Amino acid sequence: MKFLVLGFAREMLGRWGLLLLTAAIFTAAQLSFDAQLGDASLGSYLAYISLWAVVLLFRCGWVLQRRRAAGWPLEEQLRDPHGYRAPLAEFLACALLMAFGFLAALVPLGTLPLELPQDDVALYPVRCQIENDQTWVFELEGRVPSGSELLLTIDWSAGSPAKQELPITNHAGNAHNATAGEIFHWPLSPAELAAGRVSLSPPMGAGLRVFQPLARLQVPRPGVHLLLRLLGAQLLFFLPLLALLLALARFGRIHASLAAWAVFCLGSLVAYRPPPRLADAGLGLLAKTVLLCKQALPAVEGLATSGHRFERLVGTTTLPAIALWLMLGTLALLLACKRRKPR
Amino acid sequence: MNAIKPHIFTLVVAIWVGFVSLCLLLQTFTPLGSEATNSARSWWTARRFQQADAEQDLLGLRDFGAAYLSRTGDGTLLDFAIYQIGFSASGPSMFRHPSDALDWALIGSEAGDSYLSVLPAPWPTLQTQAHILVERAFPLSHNPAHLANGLEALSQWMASGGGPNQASSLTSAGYREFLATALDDRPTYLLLRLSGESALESHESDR
Amino acid sequence: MSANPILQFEQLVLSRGKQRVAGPLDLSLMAGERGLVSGANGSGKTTLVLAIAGLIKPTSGRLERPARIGLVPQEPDFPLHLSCHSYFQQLLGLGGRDHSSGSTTNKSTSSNQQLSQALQLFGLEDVAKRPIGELSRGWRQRLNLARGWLSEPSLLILDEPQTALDPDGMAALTAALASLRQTAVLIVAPAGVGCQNLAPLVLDLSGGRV
Repeated sequence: MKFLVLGFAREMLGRWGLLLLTAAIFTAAQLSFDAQLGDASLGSYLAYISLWAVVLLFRCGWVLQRRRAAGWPLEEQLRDPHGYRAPLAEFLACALLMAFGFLAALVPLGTLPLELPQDDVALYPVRCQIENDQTWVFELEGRVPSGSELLLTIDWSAGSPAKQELPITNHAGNAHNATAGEIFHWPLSPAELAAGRVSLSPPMGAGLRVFQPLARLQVPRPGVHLLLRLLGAQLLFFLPLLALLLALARFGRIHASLAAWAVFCLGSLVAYRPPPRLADAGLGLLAKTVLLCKQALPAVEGLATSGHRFERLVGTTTLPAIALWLMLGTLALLLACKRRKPR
Repeated sequence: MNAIKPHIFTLVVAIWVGFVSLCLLLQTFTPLGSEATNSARSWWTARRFQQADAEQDLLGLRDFGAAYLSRTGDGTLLDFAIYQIGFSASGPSMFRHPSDALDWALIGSEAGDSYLSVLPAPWPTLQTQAHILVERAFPLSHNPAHLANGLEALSQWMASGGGPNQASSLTSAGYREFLATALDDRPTYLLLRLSGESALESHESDR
Repeated sequence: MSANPILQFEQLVLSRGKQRVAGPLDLSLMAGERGLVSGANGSGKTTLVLAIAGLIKPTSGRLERPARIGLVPQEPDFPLHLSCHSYFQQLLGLGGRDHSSGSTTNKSTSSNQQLSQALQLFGLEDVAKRPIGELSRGWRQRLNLARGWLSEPSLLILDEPQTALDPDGMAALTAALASLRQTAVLIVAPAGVGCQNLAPLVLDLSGGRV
């Protein structure tokens, strides 16, 4: 088994794989964190590193197809009575390479003189609807990471000058005081985080107005010390895709590079987060179908989040969704190991 | 039948790949890894912004700042561009013709207006806009709408206490003073406040 | 030597689609025995090989075959970018031997021994580290034989093994076959190509019986 895993890993890497990976990681670190050149974004670094997993998916498809052409299926059929050794070795080799690339991504952060981002917050514009003078409704576009707050700039100019501190309540009856001349912070409750919608009411007759264009959602931005955990989440996202690739190529007996494309397409759909406004708008058939497909899949886009706005999705994936996603991956791996009867 | 099954399966998968690839091509949604491309493009946009700054290409500053905002959600470059275009370029130190100076002030102010609702931290932009409209545009145009809009922007900025990151007790106290002022005297209060700020800023820069 | 036959088939009929290709056939091979299946082109030799290897289902009849089969196909495919050494290592990793007992170290040592033995027996030691793609047709045929022999199968099927072998290669093949005391060997070749010396039992597909 050891030789199988090593052999497949070596084929995956090819002659220049390690060298290219090293160069790519160091370039990514420079682009993301260099004091002069970098854009000081952990999400950006995460985006570059997650490309490694995408490349491995396609490379895996290519190597599987090359092995098929080189007569491996016959040898497997003759030598492995149960048929699980080769698929398991392929899965393990790819998983280990993925993990290796992700771990290697930590190296430049400890060795190069970089300006690493610390814990911070990110702000996002929020859609605000004024249902009436008594209710402000804020749409947060899906689940929100815990620790998020709503920041409101409130106009007190129509109220009584004597009242410069007033309570604002949500529909559950929770209240926080707003002070004139200060941003109003509303920490989101677990229910509000999950629903992605907040409904607030100012005191009746107080004359408070919210400046709608200035309503913002404040999300905690993870520091670089959380990179390992974020990469672990990426691994959880990509491993089931890898298992699915093996299942399609082995059990489905389709061209392995086509299987890699299919899995890439599925991963893209899973990682995609449609803006909620899409559901309201009059959509084309294509977009509606995409939306339907997306809704049928586990909501694990938070695991694969990267890029400059990555903090908006980090930590929004629920445990049942992760469990379902991993279960699908396990099922796919079992299928990949299942040998089909000779025709 | 057994021999046909794999071909049907290939066909199904090929249709799936074709459908999703079409959606990706039509940008109905984005492919895995597109964030890396976006990051690389935003990095390049930031470099071009720096180049535009070095070359004093003011419209380039605005455009690259806006492109950077849409790619990254980071508005600091656009904020800087608005200040450069609306305030610095329209200032006396630029020795421009007054009509040029007014044009630049209005371009800066319009940029602030159009991006206010999408900037992640819009509060400093409000303050910049107040300075642009009251101290640059109004003296050149004598248009009362410029003055009114500038003071409105300032009152919004004061209502936020300067924003969450630049929160200042002075600004908060100032807003409470503003609320305590009679309605008719509020514009005058804001004007005084703005000129006080400018005096303080120039004193700081002299030091 | 076991008293039970390693390979046995009775009244075996093979078809491709609706067309009968060969049969009814009868054969029984004990451990250490060598059989030759001969016949003209299109007489169903390759179909028989595939059926014995478990790659196609017989139409009717009884077929008893061992779990561990080594196959030396007529037109082999190889991963041309790999070296023989690396390829064989991975093939050994696929299994085919009894791994139910013994420590990891023992398994590893046994694998290494088997690998060296295969390379030595078929004279592949000098080319073991070279990519397979760089080897000539003759060397690849030796490699093909070594691959079938590797991991000590209970039954070794050779489909026209003499193809592309020079006298040295034939000598290596003869020596290798002689060393297989626990393995039944089935050679498939057209009549009159000089394989009769390798196997005393002959199954003529036109007759269908030994």
